[in-house]
Amino acid sequence: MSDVTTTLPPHETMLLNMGPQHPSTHGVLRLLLELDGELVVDAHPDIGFLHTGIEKSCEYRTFHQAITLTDRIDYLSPYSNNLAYVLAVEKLFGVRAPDRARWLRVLLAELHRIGSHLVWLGTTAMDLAASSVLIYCFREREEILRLMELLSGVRMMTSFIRIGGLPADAPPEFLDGARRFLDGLPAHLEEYDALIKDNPIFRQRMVGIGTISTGDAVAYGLTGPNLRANGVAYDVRRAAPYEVYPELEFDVITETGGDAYSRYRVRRREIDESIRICKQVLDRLPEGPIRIDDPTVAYPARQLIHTSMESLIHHYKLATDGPIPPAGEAHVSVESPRGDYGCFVVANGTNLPQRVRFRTPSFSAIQALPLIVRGGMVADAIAALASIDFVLGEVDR
Amino acid sequence: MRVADGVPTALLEPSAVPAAVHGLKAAGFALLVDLTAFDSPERAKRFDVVYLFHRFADAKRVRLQIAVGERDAVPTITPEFPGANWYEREVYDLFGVRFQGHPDLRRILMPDDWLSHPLRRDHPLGGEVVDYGPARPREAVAPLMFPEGTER
Repeated sequence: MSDVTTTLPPHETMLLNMGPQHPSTHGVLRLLLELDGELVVDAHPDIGFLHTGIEKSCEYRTFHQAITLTDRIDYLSPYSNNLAYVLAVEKLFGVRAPDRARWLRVLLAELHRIGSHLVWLGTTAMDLAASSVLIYCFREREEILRLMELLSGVRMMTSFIRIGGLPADAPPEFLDGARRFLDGLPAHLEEYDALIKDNPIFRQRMVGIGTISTGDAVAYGLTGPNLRANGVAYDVRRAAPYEVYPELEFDVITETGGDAYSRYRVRRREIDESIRICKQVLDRLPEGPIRIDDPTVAYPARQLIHTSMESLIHHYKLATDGPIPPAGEAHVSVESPRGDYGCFVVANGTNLPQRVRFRTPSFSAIQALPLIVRGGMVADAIAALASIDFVLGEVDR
Repeated sequence: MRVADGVPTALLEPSAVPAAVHGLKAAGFALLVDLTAFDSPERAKRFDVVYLFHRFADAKRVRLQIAVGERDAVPTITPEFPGANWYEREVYDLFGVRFQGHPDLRRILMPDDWLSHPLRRDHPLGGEVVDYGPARPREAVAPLMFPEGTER
């Protein structure tokens, strides 16, 4: 017996398998924790369980058909995915959507950002055993999903975007509903703040937990709220503006703690900024067409198909062969709720893309996870994991 | 140097990558936004590996692009950008491009015992042998050509 103990290395660690099926991984993530008692010495994330080959599938779809695949990558903010892909394809074509469509796209992206941050807030609180927050957050998110259903007929995977614009105009009921929702939301957000902002248990579980240095955060490619919680004011909406963000007033939210609580504060305050953006869009939404008038790129208006032979032919060609962009490459980054979400499209002059690549913020975040959980307790790993707000669908694609 | 979609793009030899990346980092390009590849099987150097860097100070972006053949190895950039680790693993996993000096070049998205590299253009969509039975050696996926127009 004594032989065994003396031959053991001085600091024997235990390997604990967290996942692939673990409630706090919010998906299928296997995390191999190396433990010294309750202390996390190291962590080894193992990904790929949700790999569905979306990038490969895109190569067998026309440029229009691939839009519906992009929703499935980050299913909590499908509109950012749609937008990055469509903007990249529009860049290949060298076209720009009409003004009304560009404003509406921003409105939809920001509504989804609010929804995504609400889900994050609810599930994070639930991971810390405050389950009532989840119920309230989902109540408000449900309003967003209802609005999406009113607009597109689909609650989550709306794909309410086309190359060169939008599939249809937003009905007045949608715009009124959005305004009502945005007017009512701040009062609810105050309720959440009352529940958790200064809650001693919540603060104990979040303040100083899951810290990462600013240098490491940049070196590992963290973006979005995770990077802004370290004080780096990098927001694609300001750094590489797309659509109508340059015309909108909003602040890039930063905190300086670099810990789980700072990430919570950044996301919570970003909801306020998103409300600001949405209200500006609703106030300033211009009238006009919602799709460009270019039959080689965008579908003709629906009513024209019934009256114009030309439009019918264009519609048929776009639906069967699809639009054919000139050969080239285009990369577009957008600010998804999780950070810099990039789409890189390579066209080779045919109707099918040669390569569609999605650069997703969660991929980098999971890679940096060992740095974030190292040195903490196992229970802190849960809080740290929740605080970086990853979506496994976009890690594995 | 050329400009593709508004981003200055430097076409390099693989051996020039470490020096170029070091220079970029020294010039303030601290964020590796993306590292990916695409495949053009009709060329001898069929893979293009693409690096995209971002500088916070003035929001400028720079792209490096290198063409490599199936047998070539690309020097890793993980010493300069530790975050490139998983990105290089992904390119290796899905394209089979090897990165020289990489600390841990394993598959990342596909199963460890997978034999092919699915994002190569000559890899068919579908047709993999899915084995639900007891462990048996997996058959290699036959390198089929493109299904002509059938997969739209």
